[in-house]
Amino acid sequence: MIRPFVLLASCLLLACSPNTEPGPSKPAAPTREVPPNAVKIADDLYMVPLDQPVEGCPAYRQFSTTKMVNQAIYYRARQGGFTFDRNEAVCD
Amino acid sequence: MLFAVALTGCGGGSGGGVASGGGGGPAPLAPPAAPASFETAEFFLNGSLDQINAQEAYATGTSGQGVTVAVVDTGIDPTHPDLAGNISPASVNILTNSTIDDDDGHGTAVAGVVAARKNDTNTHGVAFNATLLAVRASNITGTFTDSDVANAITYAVQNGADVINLSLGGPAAGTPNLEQALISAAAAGVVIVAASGNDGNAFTPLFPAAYAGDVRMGGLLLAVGAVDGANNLAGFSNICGNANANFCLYAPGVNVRTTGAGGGNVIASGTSFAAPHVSGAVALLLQLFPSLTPAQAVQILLTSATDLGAAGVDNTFGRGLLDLDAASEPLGTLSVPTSDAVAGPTMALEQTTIRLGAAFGDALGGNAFLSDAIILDGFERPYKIDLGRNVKGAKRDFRLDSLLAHRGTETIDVPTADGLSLSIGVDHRTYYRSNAAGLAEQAAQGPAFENLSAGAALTDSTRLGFAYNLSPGQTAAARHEGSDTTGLFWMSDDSLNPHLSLIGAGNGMSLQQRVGDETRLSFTWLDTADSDRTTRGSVGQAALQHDFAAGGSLRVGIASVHEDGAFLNSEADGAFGAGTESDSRFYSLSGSMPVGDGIDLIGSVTVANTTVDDGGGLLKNWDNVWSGAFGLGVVAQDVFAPQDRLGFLAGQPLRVESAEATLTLPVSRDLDGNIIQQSERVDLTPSGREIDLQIAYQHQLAPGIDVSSWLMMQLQPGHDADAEPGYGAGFKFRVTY
Repeated sequence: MIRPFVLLASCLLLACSPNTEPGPSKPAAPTREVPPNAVKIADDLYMVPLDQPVEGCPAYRQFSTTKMVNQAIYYRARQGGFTFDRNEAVCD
Repeated sequence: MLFAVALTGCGGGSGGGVASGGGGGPAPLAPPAAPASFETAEFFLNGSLDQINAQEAYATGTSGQGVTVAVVDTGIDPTHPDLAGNISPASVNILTNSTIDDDDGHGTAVAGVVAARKNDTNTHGVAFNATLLAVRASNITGTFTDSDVANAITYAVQNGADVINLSLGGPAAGTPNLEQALISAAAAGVVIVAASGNDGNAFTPLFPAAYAGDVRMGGLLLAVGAVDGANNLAGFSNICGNANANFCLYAPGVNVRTTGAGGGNVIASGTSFAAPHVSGAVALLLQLFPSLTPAQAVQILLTSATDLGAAGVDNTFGRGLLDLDAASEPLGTLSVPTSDAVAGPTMALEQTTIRLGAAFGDALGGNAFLSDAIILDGFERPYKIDLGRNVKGAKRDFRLDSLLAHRGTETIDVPTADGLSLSIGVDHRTYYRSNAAGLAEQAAQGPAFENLSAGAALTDSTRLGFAYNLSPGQTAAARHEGSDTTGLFWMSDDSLNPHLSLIGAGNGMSLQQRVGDETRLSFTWLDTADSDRTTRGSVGQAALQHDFAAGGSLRVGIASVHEDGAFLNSEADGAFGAGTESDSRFYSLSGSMPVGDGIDLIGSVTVANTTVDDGGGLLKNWDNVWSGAFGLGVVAQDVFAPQDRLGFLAGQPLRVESAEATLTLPVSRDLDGNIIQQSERVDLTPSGREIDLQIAYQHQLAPGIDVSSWLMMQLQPGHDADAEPGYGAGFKFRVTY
């Protein structure tokens, strides 16, 4: 039951995502538009859920439309908010 | 016709070949570290260090000491015990010009991957003794503006950074300020390592990593993607893309254990944590090889990376996975510098050899000085190497060639007029060569013309001979053993006529002149264009022999041997001096004396002086090269049967008794491009003295059918004092028709 759901969700996400999927043969730089599923955590700073979990844990990346961000993978933290420390991640 | 030979031989001894200088390849000049000092629990706690083979670099003694890595990030926790000792006092918050406190934790984690200290606590960084120049460029939300990053880069360059780590990025090209800061940093020779980004495998690197392929960066900006612990592409990692592939690496970026703000460890993922592995690696290389330019260091990491994905450089994996083992090893052509300048002449290591002839035995084998040499790799990095491994000794083995030389060769004596002689050698052997499939195929088959000898009696007392493609020993008048020992002993020439084996078959002539009934004067000259350099040259010989009326004889001889590319059958090549040639003078005294009915005592002693004209290589100024050989034996006839022969021979094959040369080795290089050379006068005499003991018996079974057998023992074979004795036995059955 889970696999069809994931597949369906993936299709929906792909359908809704910006036209930035060039495929490996023609990669392109990501856009500066805020992804629709992004979670805003500060002024012009978002957490964007990744398509795939990292080592089984739902994961996020930081995003900003005007600034550079660090390139750590984030998780939901037990204490609330986000953390890049896997030890403090909520992975359920 | 010599028809059949049956032989057995069992060599003994431990060598005679020069011992190699130990295993392993070339090693960097730094003193090696014991594995126990770096393969610690702290090391293995962070699997990524093992994944990039960091222990192989640590074994060379490098730790990043003296190299400054700027971490442009969210600051560093300066109180973390794994970091505190490595943080530069020049560290700064570029926004506030105040402390570098890290309220985000990202910078602390990145810095730990670069240079967390090795203190038996938690884990340590790749370059655990590098200096961390923390430049906080983040605002309160943990994000970075182009101008702040640009200012941080400029500050890092101005404060001595060798490497700048940028575990940050954004989707848009940098502002002119940021671009100029990056260009200026690269122009200043600072390596910039940037995270590729976490947008996923469908995307190329974010900025500033996307500048990796920009020619304005001079090849000093690297984009770094992430792999997991099994070297699989991390699902979140941006790939290299076509434009950046040549300057794109991968490093561990999934579940990397590193330092956490406030103390302790965190387990973090992202290309943020892949990039500092590469920054640390650059620091290790720059310490290990201070002569490297930053561009060379980068090229080494790129060329030594483990290929991932499609073969070669590809859009996804670029150059592949960081590999510190391969990066520490020599790359490119290995060469031996032969002058005092790095940019001076060099010779390829693989061509740099000395193959010492048997007379030198194990000389140079234990020479410790040879292990002080260095070579340069393709990046002019110096590596210590034991050049003793390139000294090959020649063991005087139980050679069968003297017995087998005529196998398949037919000698035809052509009837001629009185006073003339003509012999033609016809080769009946079958020759094989390897075909395209590597299989042997017949290349030629006899009969084929092999050699020719001709003689003419000019007067009753004068005889002239000509030889075509005959060895010196086959050339008339070249041989004398004081008695008829022809074909009796197995290896008699080594002791009794040592000069005859120095050159190969050739063309020449001989002249014998009788002076009265009892005295002979002989001259021999032979020149060979042998394809084997060690046996190419010429020999000229003069001998005076007197046969006593009461039996026995005495002979005095002098021979001059010129070796075109060798010295006493030894060959130097490459940096040791290609083109070495020599001239030797052999002085011999031999004779025989009857000591009973049908029993002769035979003896011979030869002394030789050799002048070596070195090829201008590392081994030169040869002096005092003296060698000698001797043999003493007894031959009895009609012992057990009519016309049989029984002989005993004890002899020393040619041995170098004294020889000195100057060995000049490159032993180091400095940062000004100079090669430091050292010279040492080396002794080239062997450690031992080979004595060959032979017992031979030859018996005619029937007319035209001979049987010969030998027993032989070699003491200290190969003039190697440590060699075990060798034993041999031989049996030959010959049918003549």
